[in-house]
Amino acid sequence: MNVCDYSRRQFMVGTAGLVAWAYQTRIAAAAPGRDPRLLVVNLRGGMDGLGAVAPVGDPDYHRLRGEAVLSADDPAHGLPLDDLFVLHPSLPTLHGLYRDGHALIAHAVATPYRDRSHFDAQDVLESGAAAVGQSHTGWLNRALAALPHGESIGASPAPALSIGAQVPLLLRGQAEVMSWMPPGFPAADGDLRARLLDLYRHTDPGLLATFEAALDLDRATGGEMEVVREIRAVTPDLKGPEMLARMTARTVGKLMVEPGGPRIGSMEILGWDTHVDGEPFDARFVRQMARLDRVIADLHTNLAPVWDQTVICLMTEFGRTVRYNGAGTDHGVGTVAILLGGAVSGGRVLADWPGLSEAALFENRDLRPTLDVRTLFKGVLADHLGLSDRVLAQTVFPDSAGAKPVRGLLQG
Amino acid sequence: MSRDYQAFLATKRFGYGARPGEIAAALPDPVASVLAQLDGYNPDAGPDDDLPGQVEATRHFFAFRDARGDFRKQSELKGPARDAREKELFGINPIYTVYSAEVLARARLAASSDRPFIERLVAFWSNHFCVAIDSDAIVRLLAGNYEREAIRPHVLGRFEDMLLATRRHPAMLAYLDNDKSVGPNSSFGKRTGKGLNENLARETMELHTLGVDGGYDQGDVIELSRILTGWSYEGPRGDEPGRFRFHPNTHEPGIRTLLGTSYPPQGEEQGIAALADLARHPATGRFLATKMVRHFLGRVPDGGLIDRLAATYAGSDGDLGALTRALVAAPEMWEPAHAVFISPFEFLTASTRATGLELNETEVARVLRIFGQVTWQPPSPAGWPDAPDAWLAPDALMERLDWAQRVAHLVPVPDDVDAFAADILGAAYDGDTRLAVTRAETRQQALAMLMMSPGMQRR
Repeated sequence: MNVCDYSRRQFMVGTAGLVAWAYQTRIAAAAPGRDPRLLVVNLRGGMDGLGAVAPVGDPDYHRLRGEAVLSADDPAHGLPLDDLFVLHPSLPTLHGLYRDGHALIAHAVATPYRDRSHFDAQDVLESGAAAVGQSHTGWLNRALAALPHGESIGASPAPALSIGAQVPLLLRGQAEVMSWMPPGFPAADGDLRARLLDLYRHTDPGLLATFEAALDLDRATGGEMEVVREIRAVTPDLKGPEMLARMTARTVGKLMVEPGGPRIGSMEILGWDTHVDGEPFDARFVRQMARLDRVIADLHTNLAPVWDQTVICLMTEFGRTVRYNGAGTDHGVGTVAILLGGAVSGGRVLADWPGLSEAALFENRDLRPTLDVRTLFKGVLADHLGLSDRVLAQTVFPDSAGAKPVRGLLQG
Repeated sequence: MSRDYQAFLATKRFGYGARPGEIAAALPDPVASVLAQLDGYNPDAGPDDDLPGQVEATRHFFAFRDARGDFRKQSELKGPARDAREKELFGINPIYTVYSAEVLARARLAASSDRPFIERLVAFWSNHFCVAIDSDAIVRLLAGNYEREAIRPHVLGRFEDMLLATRRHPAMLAYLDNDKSVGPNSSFGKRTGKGLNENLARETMELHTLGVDGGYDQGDVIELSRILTGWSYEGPRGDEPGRFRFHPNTHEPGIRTLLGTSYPPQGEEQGIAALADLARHPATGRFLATKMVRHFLGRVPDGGLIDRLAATYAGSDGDLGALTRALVAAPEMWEPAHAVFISPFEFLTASTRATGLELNETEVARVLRIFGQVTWQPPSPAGWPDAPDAWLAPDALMERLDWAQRVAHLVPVPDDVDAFAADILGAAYDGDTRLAVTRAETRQQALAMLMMSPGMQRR
C-alpha cells in the first residue's frame, strides 16, 4: 500500500520555518584569514527543478510541458541564464546574483535515492548516506564534528544542546547544535524574565546557563517581537508561512554575522509538494517562487557584511515528473541544487544535460540525474571549510569515495 | 532521604506532577502511594472518549480516500476552489480528525488520572515501541489506537504480549515497512521479484528487545526479517481493513536459525515462537531494566540494581508488573537526583494537573509543536531521548516561559499562591522559590514563576 506520500504532503504544508546551527564559531580548518559561513536551505517537499530552471533550449521541453512553459523572450515568462536555461520570472533576486557571479545552478542532480517517498528521500538527502535508514545523524553535523571546536555564542555556554525534535536530521549528531523557531507565544515580559533569571541564579546552575543563553540569543536576534516589527515595517500584514520563512532568514543572517555567532546553519522552506496548482504560472507555484526569492533577498541583505565569505546551498529531496498531471506535477527524481554567496564562483549552470527525449527520461517520467548532489556538497565542504577528501568520503558521506567532490565551485 | 521529599518524588518521578492535595496524600507512605496505583488497574481502561477502533478508522479513511480520488478524477476545479469543494463534500481527512482526537484524549487522561504512574508507563512503553505519524497516513490515523490497544493493556502484563501486539498492529507494520517486506522465495516474491525489508527485524532486536549490544549479527537480522515476512494487515478490499493478517503468499518458506535456535517452517507460528524467545532472552531483561531506570531516574546508579531488576524479569517470565513493582520498591529510585529536565508533554501535563487548565485540541497540538514534541512523531525509531538534559535548550526554555505567562492569565489563580505552591511542589518548594513566588508583583506572575521553578521543570 502506498499512502505514505499522501500523508507527508499534507503534513508539510502546515509546518513552520526552522533554523538550527552548530554551537561553534571560527572554523579553524579553513584557510588562514578566512571566516567562512555555510548555510544549507532545505526546500522540503520536492521542488520542481524544471519549473524553477527551465531548459527552454531543449525542444523536448516544449513537447512535454507545452501547456505552461517558461520563455527567454519576455521577462514576465522567464529570466535568461544561458543558451539552454531560463529562470522562473518570480526569482529576480536570484537572477541578479547569478548575473553578478554569486549564484551557481546545478541541474539534473539527485541524491543516490531513486524512489519517490518524501520521508525516505529526505532521510537520504540529510543523512548523507547512500540509502534509506542507514544513519540517525546528518552529514552537516558529521562535517562539524570533523572540524575543531570553537567557542559558543554569548558569554555563558549552555551544556549539551542537541534535541531531535527541534533539530533536523541534517544537523543531528555528536556536534552540539542549537535551534530557533519563530516565536510560538507572545514573549514573557522583561520583569518576569529578570525575576526568573534571579531565581535560577539562586537555585539551578543548569537552568541558569540555559536561560542566560536564551537571553543572549534573544539579544543577538534582536528579540522575537522586534523581528516581527522590522519585517512588518517593510511588508505590512505579512503573516503565515512567508512571515515564518522571512523571520527565519533574518534571524539566520543576524546570527551568522555576529562575531561570536554560529558559522554553520540550516533553515527550511516548506510547501514545494506541488501536486496541485503546480504549473509554473499557477498561483501557488508563483507564490512559492516569490517567497523563495524574498528569503534569498533577506539572506543577502542580512549577510551583506560577510557575503564574500558565505556559501548558501539550496537543496531539495527530489524533483517532479517532467509531464504535468493535469494540475501540477508528481514526485520525480532529478531536480536542481543552487549555490549562492560571494564565495561562490557562479554565473553559470552546471549540468551534464541528459535531455528530455523519451529515451533520456528516467523510468519514462523523470529528469534523469547526471550529477550526484553529494559531489556538490563535498566540493563546498572541501574548498570552503577545508575538509579532506578522506574525511568526506568516509565520515561525512559514508562509502562515497566514488562520488568525487566537484572542484572549482568557489572563488579563488 | 526525607519523607517530605519522597512524597514530592512520588508525584513527579513516578507521575506527572501533583494535583492539589496529592503530595499531602502521598506523605504517610510515598512508596506505597505509587504501588497502590498499580493495584486493581483495569488493563482495558483508557480514555473515556469515543475513539474509533482500528478497523472502523481504517475503513473510514479508505472510503474517504476513494471518494476524494474519484472526485479528483472527474472534477474540473483546481487549487483552493477544489480544496474547498472537497471539504464540503467529504469533510476533513480522518487521519487528522482521528489523530487530533486521540492526542487530546491522551493529554486529558494524563491530566485527570488518579493513576498517573500508569500513564507514565503507557508513555514509556509507547516511546519504547514508538511509531512516527509522519511516516505514513496509516500511522497517523492509528497511532493513538496503537497506544491504546497494543501498549496500554500490557504495561503491567507480560512483555512478550506487548512485543507481539505491537508487531501485529498496522501502525508498527507500516512504520517499519514490514507491510512491504516480501519473502523472495514466497509465491508472491517469485512472481514479482520483490524482496525483504529488514527494518522491523532490525529494530525488533536493536531497539525493542536485545539492545544494540545484545549479541545478534546481520545474519540474525536477515533471518528474523524472513521469519516476519507475511506479517501485514488487511488493505482497502479486505473484510476488515486495518486488521492484522498473516499472508502466507508473501511468507518466506523454510527453516530459520535465529541466535543459534532453529525454527521450523510453521508460517505465522514461526514468528510467534521467535518473538517469545527474544522476549525471554537475558539480554532483553537487562536492556529493559536499564532503560526503565534511566527513564525514571535519569541515570543508572552503581551497584546491583540492574542485576536485581533483570533477575526479577527473568524470574517472572517477563512480567512487567513484577518488574515495575521491583523498580518502585528499589531504594535507589528514591535518591534525590532532581536532575531530569521534564519533557514537553510532562510539562504540559504537570501544568494542567496543577492549575486545572482546560485543554482543547488546538492548544494541546500548538503547545506540543512549539515545545518540540509533536505527539507520536519522535525523530527516529529510537524514540524521544531519555538523557536528563535532552530537552534543555535555550529556545525551548524561553518558549516554556512565554507559555507559562500565557497560562497564568488563562486559569483562575488561587488567592493564596504561597499555600498553593506548597501544595503542588511539597518539599521542592524551597526557600528561594518561595521568595520568588511571594515577592511577585501579581498573582499571575507568581503562578508563572511557580511553573518555571526548578521543582516544576525537573524531577
